[in-house]
Amino acid sequence: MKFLIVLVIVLVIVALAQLMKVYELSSKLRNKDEADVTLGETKFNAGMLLVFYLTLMISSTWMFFHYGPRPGLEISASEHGNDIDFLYDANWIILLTVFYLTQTLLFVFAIKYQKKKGRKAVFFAHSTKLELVWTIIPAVTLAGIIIGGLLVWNKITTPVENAEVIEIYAQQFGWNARYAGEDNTLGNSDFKVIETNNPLGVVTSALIDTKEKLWKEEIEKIEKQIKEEGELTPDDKLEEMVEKVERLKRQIIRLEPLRRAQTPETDLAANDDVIVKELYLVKGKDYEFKFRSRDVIHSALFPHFRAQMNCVPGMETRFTFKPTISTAEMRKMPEVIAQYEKTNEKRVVQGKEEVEFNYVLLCNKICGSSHYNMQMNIVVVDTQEEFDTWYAEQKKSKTFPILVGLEEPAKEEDKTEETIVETVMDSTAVAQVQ
Amino acid sequence: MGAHTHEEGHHHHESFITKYLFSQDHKMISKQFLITAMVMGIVAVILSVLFRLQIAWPNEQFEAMKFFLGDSYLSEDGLLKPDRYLAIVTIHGTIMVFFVLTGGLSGTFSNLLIPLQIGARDMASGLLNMLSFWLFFLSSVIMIYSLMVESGPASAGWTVYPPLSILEKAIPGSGTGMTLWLLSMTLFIASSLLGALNYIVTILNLRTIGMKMTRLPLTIWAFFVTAILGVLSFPVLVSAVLLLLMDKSFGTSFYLSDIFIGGEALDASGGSPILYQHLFWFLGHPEVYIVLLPALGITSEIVSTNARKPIFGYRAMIGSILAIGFLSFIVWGHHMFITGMNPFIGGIFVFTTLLIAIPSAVKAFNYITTLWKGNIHYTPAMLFSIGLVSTFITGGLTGIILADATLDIPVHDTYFVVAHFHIVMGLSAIFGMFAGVYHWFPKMYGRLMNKKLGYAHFWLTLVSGYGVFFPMHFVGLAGAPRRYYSNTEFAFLDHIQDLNEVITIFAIIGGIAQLIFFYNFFHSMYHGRVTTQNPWRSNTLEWTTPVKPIHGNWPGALPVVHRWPYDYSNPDHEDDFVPQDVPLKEGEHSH
Ligand code: HEM
Ligand SMILES: [Cu+2]
Ligand SMILES: [Cu+2]
Repeated sequence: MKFLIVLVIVLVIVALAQLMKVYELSSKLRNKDEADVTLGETKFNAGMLLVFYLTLMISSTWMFFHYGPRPGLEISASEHGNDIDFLYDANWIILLTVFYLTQTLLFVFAIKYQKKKGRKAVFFAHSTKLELVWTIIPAVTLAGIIIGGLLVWNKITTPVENAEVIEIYAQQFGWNARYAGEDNTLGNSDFKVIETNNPLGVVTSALIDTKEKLWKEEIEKIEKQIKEEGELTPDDKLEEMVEKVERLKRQIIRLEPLRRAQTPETDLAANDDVIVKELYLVKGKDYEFKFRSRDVIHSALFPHFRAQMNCVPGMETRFTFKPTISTAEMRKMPEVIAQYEKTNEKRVVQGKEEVEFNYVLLCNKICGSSHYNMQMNIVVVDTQEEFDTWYAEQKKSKTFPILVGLEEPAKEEDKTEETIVETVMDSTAVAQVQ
Repeated sequence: MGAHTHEEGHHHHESFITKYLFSQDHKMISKQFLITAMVMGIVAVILSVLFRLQIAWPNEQFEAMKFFLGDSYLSEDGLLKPDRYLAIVTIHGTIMVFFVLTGGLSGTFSNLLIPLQIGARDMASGLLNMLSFWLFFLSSVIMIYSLMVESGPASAGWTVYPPLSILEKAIPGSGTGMTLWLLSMTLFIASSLLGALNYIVTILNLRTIGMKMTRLPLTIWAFFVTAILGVLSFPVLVSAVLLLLMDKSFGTSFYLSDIFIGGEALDASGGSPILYQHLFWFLGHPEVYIVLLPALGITSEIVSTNARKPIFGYRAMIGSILAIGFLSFIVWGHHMFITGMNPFIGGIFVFTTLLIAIPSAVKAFNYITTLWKGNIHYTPAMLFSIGLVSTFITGGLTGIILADATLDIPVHDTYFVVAHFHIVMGLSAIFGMFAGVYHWFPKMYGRLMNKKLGYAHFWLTLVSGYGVFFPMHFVGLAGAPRRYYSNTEFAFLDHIQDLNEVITIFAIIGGIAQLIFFYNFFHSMYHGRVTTQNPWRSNTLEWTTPVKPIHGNWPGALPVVHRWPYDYSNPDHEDDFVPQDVPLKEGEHSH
């Protein structure tokens, strides 16, 4: 293969060199001026321009019809998505008209006014009238485009009241989602308390205490180790240990602001949060998504819902949308059936498993080696009941220890807040120890 | 003054070193820029073909990968590693935008044409000019070298957004590779600034007698505004880059906050990654016009000469260059609609961005009107210029979609954006560069490039260029994100894989077609037909210099300018061109 590549390149160069020699000899014989475009060359290039122009027009038209303005995403699954699609269609009509018109003028003139013996170009250096025309026409068209665009933009970006809050938290290379629970309020969260069991760094007062206790113990342990075996450890190891102690101390200090921000209300808000790996939405409900990231910038792209928002470390961003078509309904749409039939036909040939339509969330900001495979499945259900069944199941899962023992905090009215917090601390401590 | 330089022109004895290496002659420096940029261009084209192979056939091994990249880029199963995929995408973008289209395009043609077309002996400062080239050369070497470091070159995309570009734990390329990237870019910016200052001063101060600003060829106007954009925007990039370097190496946190990576929480707090984006795009948007304006300037000159007609609306052309230059500083936010910026501010950026389309439209229409009732000579340079206008229209129109924040939501960071900017930069601006090379080759080497090969090169490039970037719009509209190692993980993207294969095939054809150009270039350098003094029968001053380039450009006194540069087919004259140094006839009015 390597050899082949080199061979082909060498051959091409040799062939070119031979051609050039022949060409040069013959043109020398005819004593031609290389700068002058001959009649033959003019005819050839005019013909090529025509062929190219026709090909461009025909193939672009064919592509617009064949693929359409949103291939594979024909149907918007969100309410505002319909506005966006409409705006797209309106813009495409304007822009395609301009495209066909200007390309046609360009190529027609370029072909029609090819060099001819005896032709002298017209000395036409400027015309205020014409120039005004093509300043004003684009200006007016653009004014229309701007107004249309901004109307929809303002509509989309205005927060919706009483939307259900869901947090999307990005990390290399996956997504977590957090439902805000019955109170529709997310508990505080902070990257400093992230751990495997608490991937979003949800904060409770109890957790802060536990963390502090654990870190202090660790400091003690390392300091003791330094004291006892310090002389025997190699320098770089020792340095590492000292550094670690310092970092832990800093971390403890940095817990302070978290503690101050914590109130009984925020503890409660955190306690009913539910963290999931798959997103369930109810058709027809408004959702307010809040986005954060723990490491680098990611971007949450929901192609079927015409939604996208960056997830930026150290910052919260938001986006609202209302799903209007459930997954089940979408699977019955003729466009979708057709697309997935074709897709599966090919997948079978390639020996891949067949797939069904699903909504997805993907990462759309370069974020590292597995950027291309950072996804979360989204299911839109038709009814609140379907959602509730799934949600109850999620709440039961014991993956997230700060929630353990507190599946239904709202019902435990007899318990005082302190006891709730205590339970949280216990369970966290248990998780820490294992 | 004339006599003094006259002598210099003839009795100056030069060694190889002062003539070819440390030359201070603007014509030699121009050629040095061009050849360096061509070499960089080859590297970037090869990289692009390699990652296109990966996108089209993600599960196949290619010998070409091993041949060009070596084993360190491949995983055990012989496939390109995902992070190295991002690495070559990053270096491809960096080289093309900065080294080929900024350094290469401005460096070559500003240097060659500014003194020649304004009637000056040389640049205002030959020394700074030489320094500008050598900094450029050094930064090129560092950039290429970074491809070979063990942990890989910078991999965070050509925009190197932090935190990805800062954290080695996030991607290996953000280690040594990124440091080299920053170093190279800093040198590059220094080179650009030296160059740009020199161009501005030269244009303002060294115009020959009669060369009023309103008689400057549009090439010079374009270079002038480009240089101003560079001087105003590159320093902002320097600060962005330096802050990035500090975050990376000295523990500051301008761009970092709330980061948990590799199992631990970093100390950094209070910084904002978005700050970097503002700084970057404050340069980045003017930068796209730094890339495009010289190409447009070159085209204005070539279209007018080869249509044998005055450029239509000379003053409107200057006005639109100035308007584009000004507006390009207040639109950067359109790259950041999805960062969670305040929607009201987003709306303002929509407005300013769409304003830019107006002067752009004026330019396009003026080119088209220049062709109308012309007498068009299809030189390769002319064909490339026609190609430039066609692609400028196509790419400008998709810009209007992207400028509309609402419409940007679904396509931001998808292949739709990639298609947009490649059509305006990868085709339009590159076509301008090719056009310039074919047109001014005689002024560089005293010989002509072969026309037949030029035609082959043009047609293959135009067809494959459209073949690559036109279908790409649909890949983006289907929702395919850019910078994906492969689209196989998402079944909803399966149906556009055919399109991806088509694109790659065109990319390979396009890549190979460039061999014709290289062959033609180097062959003609030594064996091309010797040119006459004014082969294109053009009006501008460079064609009044002797065929064999000399120091000081004109053997005698500097030419005196009597008219604007676009007196083609002037009915008062018999010839269809009237060079700028021809005095007005009795009763004739200068334009
Ligand atoms: C009518 C004129 C133009 C308009 C309205 C326009 C608008 C835009 C917008 C809004 C974006 C951001 C898209 C996104 O990231 O979602 C963009 C991207 C871009 N444009 Fe344009 N553009 C125009 C012309 C040009 C020209 C002439 C060039 C260069 C010669 C250019 C080069 C670029 C580049 C390089 C990017 C992408 C940068 C990146 O994200 O990597 N554009 N354009
Ligand atoms: Cu990501
Ligand atoms: Cu821009």
